[in-house]
Amino acid sequence: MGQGTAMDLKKINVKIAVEKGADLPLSSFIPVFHRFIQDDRLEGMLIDVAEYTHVHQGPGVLLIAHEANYSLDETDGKRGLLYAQKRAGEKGTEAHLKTAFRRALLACSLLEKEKEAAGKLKFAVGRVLVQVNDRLGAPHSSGTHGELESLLNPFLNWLYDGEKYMLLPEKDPRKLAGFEVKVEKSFELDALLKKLS
Amino acid sequence: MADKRTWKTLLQDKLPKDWAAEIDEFEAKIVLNKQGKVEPRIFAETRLRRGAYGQRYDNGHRNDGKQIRKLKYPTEDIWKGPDTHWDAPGMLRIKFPWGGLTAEQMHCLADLAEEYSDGIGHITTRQDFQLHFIHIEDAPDIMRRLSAVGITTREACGNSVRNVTACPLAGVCRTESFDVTPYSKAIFKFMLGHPDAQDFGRKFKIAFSGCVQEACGLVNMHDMGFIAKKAMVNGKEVPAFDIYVGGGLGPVPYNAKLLFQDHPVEEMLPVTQAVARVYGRLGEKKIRGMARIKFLVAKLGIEEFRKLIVEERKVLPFDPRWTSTIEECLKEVEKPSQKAGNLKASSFPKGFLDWKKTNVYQQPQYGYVTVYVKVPLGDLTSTQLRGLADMAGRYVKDTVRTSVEQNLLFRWVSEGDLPAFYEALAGLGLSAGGANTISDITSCPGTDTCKLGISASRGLARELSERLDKTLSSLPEEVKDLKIKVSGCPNSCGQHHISDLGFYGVSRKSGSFTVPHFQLVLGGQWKNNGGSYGLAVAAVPSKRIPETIERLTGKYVKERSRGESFQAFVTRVGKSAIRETLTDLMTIPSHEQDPSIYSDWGDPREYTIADIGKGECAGEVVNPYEFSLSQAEAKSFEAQLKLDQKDLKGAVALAFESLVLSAEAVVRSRNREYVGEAAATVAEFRKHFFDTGEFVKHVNNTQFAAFLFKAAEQKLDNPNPDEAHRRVEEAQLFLEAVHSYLVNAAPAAIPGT
Repeated sequence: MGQGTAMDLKKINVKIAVEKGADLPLSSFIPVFHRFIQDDRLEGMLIDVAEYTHVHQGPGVLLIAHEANYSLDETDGKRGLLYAQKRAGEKGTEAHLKTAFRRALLACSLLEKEKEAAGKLKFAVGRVLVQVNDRLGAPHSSGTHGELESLLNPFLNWLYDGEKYMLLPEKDPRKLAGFEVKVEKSFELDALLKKLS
Repeated sequence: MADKRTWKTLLQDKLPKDWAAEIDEFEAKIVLNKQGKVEPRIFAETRLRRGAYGQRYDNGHRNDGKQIRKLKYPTEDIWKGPDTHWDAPGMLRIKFPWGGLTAEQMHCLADLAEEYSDGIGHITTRQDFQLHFIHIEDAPDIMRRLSAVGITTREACGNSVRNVTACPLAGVCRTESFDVTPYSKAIFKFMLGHPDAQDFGRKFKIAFSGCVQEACGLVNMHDMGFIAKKAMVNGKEVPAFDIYVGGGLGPVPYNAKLLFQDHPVEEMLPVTQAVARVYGRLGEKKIRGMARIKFLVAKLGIEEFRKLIVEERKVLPFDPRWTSTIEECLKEVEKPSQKAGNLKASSFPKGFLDWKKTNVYQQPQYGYVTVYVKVPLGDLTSTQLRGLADMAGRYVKDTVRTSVEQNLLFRWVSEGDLPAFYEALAGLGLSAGGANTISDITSCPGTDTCKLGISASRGLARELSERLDKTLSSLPEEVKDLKIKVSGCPNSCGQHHISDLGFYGVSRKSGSFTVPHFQLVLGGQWKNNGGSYGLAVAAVPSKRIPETIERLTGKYVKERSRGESFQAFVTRVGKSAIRETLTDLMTIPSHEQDPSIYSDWGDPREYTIADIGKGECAGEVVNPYEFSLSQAEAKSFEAQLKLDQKDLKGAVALAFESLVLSAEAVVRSRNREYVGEAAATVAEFRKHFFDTGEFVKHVNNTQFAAFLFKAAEQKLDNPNPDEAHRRVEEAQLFLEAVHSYLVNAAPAAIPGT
């Protein structure tokens, strides 16, 4: 992995796109998230479940944790598993990126196997939205995107074994700075997860 | 990006100096609190006054459906209030006086919801916004960013003057006497941080209405309210206010009393200051449950209260801001950004005409309309907030307001722009029709995030809205116009008392399980500024509320007289007959028969407190307390019937019997052999359950037990309608508290469970 830059990002969003299962009722994930809390299935301090199924293209169903929120997010009409860091500690951007990807992928892996979704839900692990949820540390600008790109490249090269990918920057200046990552080759979720563990 | 930029330095030139200083001070208190140098109790009041509330599970315990789980927050030994963990997510309430918000403020809310909350900005039932799941350490930066666009959270909570609300149609209303907006602005500016409003025993809510007959600002349910009037002075028509005090919902609602009629508008601020002084001086401070101004006004009587205000007004030192603040606010005139236009007959977008019927209000100003944006449960995403801000910029500039029904109003839309406006809303998923109809349901946060929630008010509201939206077009007109309002507990944040079909969350025991219920409240009135309050009729399991509504509305359609309102229908048919219609729905099936009844809407966890285990003899042993409880229920209901029959004395007597039987149930839960007269039962309850703190510990409120003691001391031989109404309501609430106690108390205290 790379050397990193001066940028120290603590609030990273990673959203893994849904490849199959965008039509599954969002409400079917409510009991799943409650079970995740009961059985401590995810990393971090899990607190509660919040439902926003009534909201158009919103956060859907959230699992609220101390460090981050997990959600079946539908922003911009695109369903995906969003891991949104809130309090990431002092480990440095590279570590935060790794943590965010690992936790998001772990949630995807578990969700695919739950009885409500088994065989009906699949995540596209090569289509990922990476954002910085911090307008102070990373205002939407070409400078931020440049730095973020230089942080992301070594990490993505490592994660996706040097395979080709595209980085599409967020164009709307009012939205969070970030990139949509599109990897050409398909990857197995559990293989990526193993690499990050 | 790598430098140490902070929001404080970045925004230093954009914040009003006094607001910036207050936020700095709050931030310093956060640091001191973390160092253990501030009492948690003191810090709690400090943060509340800045709008930072606690949230459910901040005590570190949560029932996960299997067990009570200890939430291991990282800083386990730091507290932001008594029994409130430092790291627990909290809520930030953001004041929008008179509900007014600008495009710039909407953009700001969008960013904050995204960066610090769960991506949702929530409109409350008092025209505020709330952000949930906030960390206390993020609060100062959020406040700075809000202040930079003219918003303060100061006194959004705590014992202070809360958000000043006003009719969202003020200035564009067809029935108003005059626009109350400048006056509501003036009172907000004048009272914010006013020294005379810093020593209240409880919160103080002010509202403005432009007319008497509409729901408008709901003056009747406010601590202090102003209704615009035109008064004749020296043969000239001048603006004036009817000023009311002492109203309020809460568990026991009080009707506001007329303090001054046709009062000059220039006197508005000194009168408010005088009321604040008298309330601060004479209002209850120790017993929180009796500290609202409504109790003081009821205790003194309105004549005596008025006398005190007149005297106080005379000795108030002159303040030039009494008139200058109003003059200043009168200069800020709202103007449309687009030219007036007409809707030209052509092909309209799909759904447009139906939407227009319910969501568009014709302004008295030619060529302009106000659009109601129906916001499901008051929740807006960051994307929607940005989209709405863009629409505000394009069509109306800064004339958007929130409503107490948790919607947004775009005022001054040129009628010719309506089709394009509708399509823009559709793009944001906000073009649903049915604003102000039965499917437009108001709800407080309930068990989703509120520490006091008993049942899932939002879950129920979501379910009902979805069902009613689907059938709205086929519903009879008289049903379409009904109002449904839901609260998660008896505290009335969902304003259930003033709707046609009101619900508040309660729980009931069934064997060793607990079942979420809603108490049905009928007879309330939305119009006339929340003109009258409904009463509880029957507690129904949560999952059976949709069927309850179907039956009641079906009965209404079938049996109503021509032109009869729902409220009049309920009075004519009688609560007894209505309750009879629901008897089978009130019966709780066994867990084996229907386990779904034992969980709440949108929450698959079994609705039970995990430390109430399933006893081996559950369902077989009936403890005598259950008989007392059952009798208390019956007496409470009979009291309501007497009230309907205008037999006030009879109602009060039955309410007292219900109170004593409820107390007896508590005493018998510990001593199953107990038998005693009323006075002895009250004394037993006081000695063993109240003085020991046992009852309060489990119901988390001192007010309910006070209802019993008050009734025992004040028999009310010749009650007036208000007193009788309150006594009946208090009996019902004490009964609910006893239910809670019996659910929450340790099983050891309740033999036979």
